[in-house]
Amino acid sequence: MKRDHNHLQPNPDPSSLRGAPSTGKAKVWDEEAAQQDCGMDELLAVLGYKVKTSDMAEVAQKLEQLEEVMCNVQDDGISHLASETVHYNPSDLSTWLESMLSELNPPSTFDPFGAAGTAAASLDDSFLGPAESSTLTTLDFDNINRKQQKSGQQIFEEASCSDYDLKAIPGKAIYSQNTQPQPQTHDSSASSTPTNVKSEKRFKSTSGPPSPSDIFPPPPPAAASYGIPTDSTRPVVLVDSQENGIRLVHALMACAEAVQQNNLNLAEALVKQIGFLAISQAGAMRKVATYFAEALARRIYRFYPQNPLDHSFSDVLHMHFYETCPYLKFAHFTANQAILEAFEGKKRVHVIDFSMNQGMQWPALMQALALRVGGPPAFRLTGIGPPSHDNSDHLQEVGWKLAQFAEKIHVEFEYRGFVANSLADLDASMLDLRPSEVEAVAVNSVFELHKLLARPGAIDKVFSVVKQMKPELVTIVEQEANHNGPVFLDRFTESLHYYSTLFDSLEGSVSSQDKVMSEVYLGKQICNVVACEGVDRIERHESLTQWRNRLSTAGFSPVHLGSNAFKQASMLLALFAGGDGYGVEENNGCLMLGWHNRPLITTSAWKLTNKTTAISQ
Amino acid sequence: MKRISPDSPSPQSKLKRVKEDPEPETGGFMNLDENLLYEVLKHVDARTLAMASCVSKLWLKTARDERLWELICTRHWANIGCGTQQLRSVVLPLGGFRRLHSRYLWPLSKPQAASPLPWAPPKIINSKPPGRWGKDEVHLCLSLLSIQYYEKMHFTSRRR
Repeated sequence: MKRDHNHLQPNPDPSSLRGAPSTGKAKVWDEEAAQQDCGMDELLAVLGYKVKTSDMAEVAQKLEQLEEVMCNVQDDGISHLASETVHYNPSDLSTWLESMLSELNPPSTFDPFGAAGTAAASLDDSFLGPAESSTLTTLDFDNINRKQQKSGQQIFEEASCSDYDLKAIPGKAIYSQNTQPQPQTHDSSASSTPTNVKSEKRFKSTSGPPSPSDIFPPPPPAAASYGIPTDSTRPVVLVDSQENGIRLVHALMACAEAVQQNNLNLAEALVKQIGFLAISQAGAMRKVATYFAEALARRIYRFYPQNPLDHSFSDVLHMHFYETCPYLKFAHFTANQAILEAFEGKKRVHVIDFSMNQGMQWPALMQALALRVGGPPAFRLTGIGPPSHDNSDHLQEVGWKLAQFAEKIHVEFEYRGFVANSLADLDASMLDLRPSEVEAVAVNSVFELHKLLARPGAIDKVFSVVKQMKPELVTIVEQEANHNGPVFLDRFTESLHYYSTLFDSLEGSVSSQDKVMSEVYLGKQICNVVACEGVDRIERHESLTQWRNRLSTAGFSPVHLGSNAFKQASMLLALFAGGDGYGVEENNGCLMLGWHNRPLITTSAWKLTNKTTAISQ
Repeated sequence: MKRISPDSPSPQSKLKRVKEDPEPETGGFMNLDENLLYEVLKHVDARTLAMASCVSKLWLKTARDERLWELICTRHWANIGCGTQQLRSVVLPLGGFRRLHSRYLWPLSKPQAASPLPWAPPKIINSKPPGRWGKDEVHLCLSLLSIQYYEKMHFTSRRR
C-alpha cells in the first residue's frame, strides 16, 4: 500500500480527541484490504465487499485517510455515525469510504464553520420540513474524488490562517474547471460542494433559480491552477438529501452569524456554498434556501432590492397568493364574520379598509349583509392603498367593480379611495366620518400594520387616528411570528423557520403557476426581512402576544371571535385542496391558521376600551 | 332519444313504462310537456335532476330551471333567516342556485377523503346525512359564490 499522503493532516488545530466509535470498524477493514494484496476483487467479493480491481489502491488510501480522520475528528462531526447501524451501503466499499470521508471532512477541517456549527447544533431537523427524506445511494467512483479530496485538503493547509479568502472553502472539492468532462450549468468552479460528484448531476438536471448565480461573483482564477486532470466520466445517481439538508441549514445559520458579526469574507464564502447546497435539495427546502441565500447575498453585497414595485405586478402576485393557499381567504372570512356580528342591527355601516388591494374581502361581506334578517344596511367603504406608479387610479377601479357588484345584489353602496404612502399619513378628518349614531364604523387591516413599525411613532399615530374614527370593531390580521427582534441572527432564524413552514404548505397546491407566483410573493418578504434595514425593512412581523400588548396599551380591548368564524374557517380548509396539513386554532378569542401545528397567521378583533374618551386621544 | 335506465331512483312509475314502448318519439312519456315534467322533477334529488338534464333538449331546459335547483338547495339547509325573495335576489344575480349547488354545496357534503387533522376539532360535516347543510356551510358556500362572481367580473374586464 502506498503511504504518500503524509500531508493529509485534516485538522490543523488540535481538537479534542473524543472516542471515534467507528474506528474499530475502519481498522478491521484496513486489515482486510491489506490482506488482498493481489488486487483482485473476487476475494473481497467473497467477503461481501464490492471493490473494483482498478480501485484497489484508492480504496486502500481512502481507508487510511478514514482512519486518520476518524482519530482526529471533533465530537459532533461523528457522533451521528455511531448511532446509525447502516449509514450507507458498506458492501460497495469505495463508495462507503468516500461518503464517510466526505461526511467527516467538513466539520473537522474547517474551524470557523465548526464554531458556527456548534452554535447551530442545537437546531432541530424541523427546518428540513416533512418533505426531506434520507436516501441511500450507491455510486460508482473513479480516481477523481480522491484527487479532489487531496486538493481540497491541500488548499486548506495553505490557507489556515483566520484571514482566508475564497479558496479556503471547507472540506471538499475546490477543483479545477478546465478538465470537467461534463458541461455544467454553473460556471463557478471555485464553489465548494460537500459531495462533489454527487452534486454534478444536480447541476445539469436542475435549472435552479437564476438569481443567486447572477448575484454571486465569478470564481477566482486561482483554483484553475491546480490543473488536476479529470479524465473520466462521472456517473451519478442521487444525492442523500437529508445529509445535505442538514449542511444547508448549518451553512445558512453560519452565514447569518457571519453577517451579524460583520465578517463579510466568511459570509461571502458561505453564501456560495449555500447556493450549491440548495440545489441539491428538493422541493420547499430548496426554494426557501435559495430565497434566503439571495437575501443574504443582497445584504452582503449591499445590493438592495428596488422598493417601489410595479403595482400591477404586485397585484398579480397577490392574486395568485390568494388563489393558491388559504391564508388570505382565512383572513377575509374570519374578519368578515367578526364585522358582520358587530354590524348587527345597524342601518348604515362604514368599513375603512387599510389593505384594499383588489377588494377581494368585500363581496362576501356585502353578500352576507344582503342576506341578513331585515335586509342589507347602507354599505360604505373607504379603501386606502399605496400610490400606483402608472398614473392609473387603481383604487377607483376597484371601487367601480365593487359598486357593480353591490348593484347586482341590491345593496346600497358608497365608496371612497384614498391614496397614501403610509397609513401614518392619514388623518381622521380626511375620511368624512359621520356621527357614530348614524353610521357604525369598522376598521380592517390585513397584513398592513406591521409595516408601520419601521418608523418610530407611526403605529401610535395610526392607533390614535383609529380611535378618532370611533369604530365598533377593529379587525387585524397579522403574521404569527417575531421578525422584528433587535438581533439580526434571531430574526434570521425565526424567519427561516417561518417561511420554511409556509413554503411547505404551498407544496401541495395544484396549479404550478399559482405556486410559483406565491413563492415569488413570499420571496419578496424574505428579501425584505433579511436584506433590508431601517425604514426600508417593512416586514416587521410581530407575534400575537406582542400585538396584544401594543393594542391594550393603546386603549383597545379584545373581542372574541365567535364559533361561527371558527366553523366557517375549518370548513374552508376542508374544501381546500391539499388541506390536510392546515388547521385552525383558537387562542383566547383570536383565530390562528397554521400548518402542521405551527400557527402562521392570526386574526384578532378589537374594540375601544373606553369609547367616550376616544376623542381626547 | 335516450332511454331512461330502469334503476333510476325516480319514484315515478311512468318511467318504467317507457322501456316497453318501442317508439320513443311518440311514446307517452316523451310527450310529457314542460309543465308536467317540471312538476315531476320538483320531487327528485340533486343527482337525478342532474342526470335528467342529459336526456333531451326539452329535459335539459326544464332541469336547468333555477327554481328546481333552489328547491334542491333550500330543502335541506338550515334556516338562514332570510326570506325567499331576499335569497333569490342575491343568489340569482351571482350565478344561481344550480351553480351554488354544483360548485360549493355538493363538494362540501361529499364524504371527506382527507385524514382527520391531528389537532383541530373534529369536522362537523361528516356527522350529517348527505345533502344536509347547516348555517355555516350555507354561509360559506354563499360567500364563495360571491367571491367567484366578483373575480370573474373583476378580471375579465381588466384584460382590455
